[in-house]
Amino acid sequence: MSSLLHVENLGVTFETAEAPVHAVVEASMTIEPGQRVGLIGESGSGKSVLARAFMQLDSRRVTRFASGSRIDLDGRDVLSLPESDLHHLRGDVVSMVFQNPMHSLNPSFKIGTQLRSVLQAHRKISRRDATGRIVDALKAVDLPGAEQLVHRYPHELSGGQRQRVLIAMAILCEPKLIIADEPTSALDVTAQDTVLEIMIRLSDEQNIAVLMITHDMGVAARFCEVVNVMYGGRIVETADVRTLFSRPAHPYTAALLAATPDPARAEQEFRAIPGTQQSRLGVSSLACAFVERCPFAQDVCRNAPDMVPLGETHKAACHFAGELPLDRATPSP
Amino acid sequence: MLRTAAPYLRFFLILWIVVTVVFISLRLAPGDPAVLLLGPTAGRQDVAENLADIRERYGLDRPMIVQYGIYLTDIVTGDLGNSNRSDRPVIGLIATAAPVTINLILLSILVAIPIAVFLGMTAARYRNSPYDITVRGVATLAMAIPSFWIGLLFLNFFAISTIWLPASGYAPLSEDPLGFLRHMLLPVTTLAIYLVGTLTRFVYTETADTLEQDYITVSRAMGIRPRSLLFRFAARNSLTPMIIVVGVEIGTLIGGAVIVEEVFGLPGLGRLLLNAVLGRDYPLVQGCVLAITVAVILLNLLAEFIYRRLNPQAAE
Repeated sequence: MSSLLHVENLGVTFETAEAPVHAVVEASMTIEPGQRVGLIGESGSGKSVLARAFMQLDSRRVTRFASGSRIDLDGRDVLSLPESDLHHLRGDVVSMVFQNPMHSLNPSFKIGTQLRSVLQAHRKISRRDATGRIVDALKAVDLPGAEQLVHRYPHELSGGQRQRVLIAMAILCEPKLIIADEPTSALDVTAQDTVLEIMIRLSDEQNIAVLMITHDMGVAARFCEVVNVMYGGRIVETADVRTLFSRPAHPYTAALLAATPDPARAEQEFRAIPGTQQSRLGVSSLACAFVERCPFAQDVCRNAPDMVPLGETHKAACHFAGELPLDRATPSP
Repeated sequence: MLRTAAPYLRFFLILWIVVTVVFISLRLAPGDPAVLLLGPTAGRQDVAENLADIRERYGLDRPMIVQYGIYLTDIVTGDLGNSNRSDRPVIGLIATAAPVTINLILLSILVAIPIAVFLGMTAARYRNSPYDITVRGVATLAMAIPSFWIGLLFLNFFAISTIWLPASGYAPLSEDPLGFLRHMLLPVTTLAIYLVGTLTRFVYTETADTLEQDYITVSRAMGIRPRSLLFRFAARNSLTPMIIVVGVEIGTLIGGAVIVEEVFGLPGLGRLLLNAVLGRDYPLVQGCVLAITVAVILLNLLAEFIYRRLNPQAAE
């Protein structure tokens, strides 16, 4: 079975007035059909840029892809597709759910009109059939009163309802992949739960692969089968969710897990990772992305490590992968 | 109850304030209408009686507060009085002149809106391109150049150096459509240039702002084509507020019409008002200002009404 998405050595650089920003460096990842994959990392680690590159959402005028970069999506070589073909890809093969549902729907158009425009961008479909399909999609995301909802304006809906409308929009054309960029961060806990529940069910029922971008370990643990950890523009570790949480191999992953508050041990201090992420403005660094903050850093870390395979799906970009005394019980020094 | 009545109360309050301010400022301005009416002979001894006659006939000899009272009562009963200078009813004079001004302003708006919408939206779409920079530069220039100067340039080129177009006068649309167009072309262009400048800049800002909204990115991520994104979706977001701006600009346009009508010799409301002011024709000035104020307020209410209809969120 061939992969739905295969990304190899992807480098994304933004040309700015001052200097180029190396947002993503040598990233490789794979998503199988129907698979739920996580992309976790702190703000500015390059997760969104990486995911947006899959559908070429950032303007090509200011974005440069490193030579040797490759994105294969559903048998298409995305980086060589002309802009006019990308419209067929977006919303049809791959769609996206964004972070802020309050700003993601056009305030001037009814829900039904907005959903229909997406459907009509990809399918030759009569108005009546379109409405039927839209009502089905709204029902699939558990929105009650779907028939009336199409006549409503976005401001008449709550944040959780709007996010469900946006998920309905994302599944409207039966895509193979949905990129979900922190879809729950702007929602309250109850709505978060509903949205995750719906996305898991849709992924299972319709065999839709989902790339879940999040910095919430709880969301990753609950939702994903495989998790990619990103830091400083690089993917530093990939593992199935069980392995990642029990036996992390990269010092950054371990520190990230240790920084997650554990309600069972409320008395403990909040363990932040010391230092800050390095700027990626200017010349691209050859060192390991985490070298400045890593408690185990050695001279050899001045050269970026390759991905070290550790198991069937487990690999980590660390010179000492598998050799360091890392696990959740060990607090990061 | 109070909320539904509020717009009407506001309407009458503004009307009363304007009417009163005009009444007071006219009487504070130097120049005696009776003297102006009699012309150069007014200083002679034998016409002093005439002067008193005129003052009595037009009620100018009464205390100002009484004049004000009579004036308000007349307005309420729909009587704007007769012109001091021509003795014709003010209402009739306004009714003759108003269509010229209405046509002038309406045509300017109809010409300016499509141009401004196209230029503003495309400039915002290709932001910071040479095209965008040119459009914005020209729009600023169009806004900044005074109408009377453009008007005179046009006159000089199209009507004096060449005789392609008439320099002055007016022909009613119903009687002579071609003549109407020939007389209107230069005045409309002059007034529209200013409006294109203002509106282009407004549409540009609104569209540039809209295109940066999250929902546009979402539509893009869903495969909506750029053209439909701009002209179908972003258009409604960024053009709805333009209705309000056009409403506000009506006042400025009437001011512009005064100048343009004078330059091109159009017998419109602006010219009527200007001559009435110069001749201290109190009833006519008051009548013109009243008509213009009512028009401006009504058009702004209309603009607000349309805006509320198009913007579902403002409707609540």
